[in-house]
Amino acid sequence: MTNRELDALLRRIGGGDKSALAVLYEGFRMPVYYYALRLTGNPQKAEDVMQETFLAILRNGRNYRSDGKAAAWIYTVARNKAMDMFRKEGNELPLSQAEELEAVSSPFDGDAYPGMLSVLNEKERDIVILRVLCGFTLTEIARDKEMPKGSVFWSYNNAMKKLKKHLKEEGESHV
Amino acid sequence: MYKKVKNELRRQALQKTPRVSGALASAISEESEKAQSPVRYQPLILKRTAAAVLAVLIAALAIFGTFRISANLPEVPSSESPRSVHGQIGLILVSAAGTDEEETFSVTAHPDAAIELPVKGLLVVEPLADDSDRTRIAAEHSIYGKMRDYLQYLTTESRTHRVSIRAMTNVLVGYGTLNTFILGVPDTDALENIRISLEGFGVMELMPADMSDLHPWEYLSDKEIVLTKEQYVNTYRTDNAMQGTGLFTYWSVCTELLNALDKDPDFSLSDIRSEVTFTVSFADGETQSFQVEISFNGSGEMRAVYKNK
Repeated sequence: MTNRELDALLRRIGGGDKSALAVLYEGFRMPVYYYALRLTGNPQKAEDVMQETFLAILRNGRNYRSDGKAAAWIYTVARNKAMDMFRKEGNELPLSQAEELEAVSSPFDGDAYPGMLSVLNEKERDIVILRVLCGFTLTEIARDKEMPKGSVFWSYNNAMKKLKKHLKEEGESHV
Repeated sequence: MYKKVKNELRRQALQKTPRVSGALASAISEESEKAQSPVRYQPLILKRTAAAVLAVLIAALAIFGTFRISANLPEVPSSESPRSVHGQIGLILVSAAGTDEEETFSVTAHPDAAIELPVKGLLVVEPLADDSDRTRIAAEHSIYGKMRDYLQYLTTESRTHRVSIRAMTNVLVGYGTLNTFILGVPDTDALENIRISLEGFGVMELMPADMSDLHPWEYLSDKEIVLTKEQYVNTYRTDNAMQGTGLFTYWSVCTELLNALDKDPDFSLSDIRSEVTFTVSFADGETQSFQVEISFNGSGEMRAVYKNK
């Protein structure tokens, strides 16, 4: 789903057209879910965050300001919902948001991720999820993770090569 | 690059994404139910911003399966032609989406190619026996029914299609189309201009990169437009992580066609033809050009064929 399409849907939701929510949900639930899964490390919590995110969009869509960054706005809502959830669970969060989330995230639940990601290490998996499932650019990922751009590019390419090899081997094993 | 890997990863990811439940499910299903009730006639039911009806229709359909266009495409080699010195100018077709189902066609690699594109579209014409509300509502209902069946058949969760109904004097014309063509030009330093021309029925729309609320898409006037390098780079080149970078264009039904359908009750839908030509010129004189031919069969189903020129 493009930023343009997201933008149009959010503006419609903001204008009171709630039917757009179903379209937005179908088109963007997977990226939001995996974004939330990254933050929480737990499928059940990720699902809760995802649902809370879409409900918040429905309730507060009028606060959306069209600036060409619709996806970023949705991810911010999701991040805030994850923060809310951690707070409700009694975690005090005195650090910056990114650090806070790192600090309180549940342990990684490997089964929650697509099976092919198991061939990647944690860093590679995170980059691939952000890039392929959530649609972030590699530059945005570098900024988000506070990593040098070159390292992100290298890790991403390395990860994709591994996945390609894995898919090929899997295909051959089914012949 | 890595398209198969990405597609497989997204397929697996979508399978593992939980479905809606709880309060959110209620909110969505409420809207879906509303969407299934008949829509009252309004003079110009939908203009370009037919997204409202699209959303209602999509919500009503509740058929969000995945339609993978790539599976329907012929194998297209991706190697770059030696005659191009400015990189692989490509046409990305964004059609019956899924999360980001798309296909890239290398024009330079296929000098003789004529490839049927997996665009989808349906044009429905319902005559109006009189101008009573009852007749109009019945006609509108019929159009919605046909559209719904067609889209259900596609089982798509498209990001790019539009559905619209236009009220004419003698007919209601409904159309749903799935086609966004992204013209990607990698070597913008050497670019001179991009020319898009159109023959036959139809209109091309261009999407500026910084869409405003009032004019999200621009119509191509006079059947031809030439974008300078500066216009392309500064105004139209859209960078989308999921779909690609380039000039986003869209083919749509034009007023001329609507008028023709309104005037002639025997107008054959298979007479509708439209040819879009994209021509990219570089400062050193190199030019690359290709076409998309759009037509409809007698049942109003759209088809498009991509051709190198």
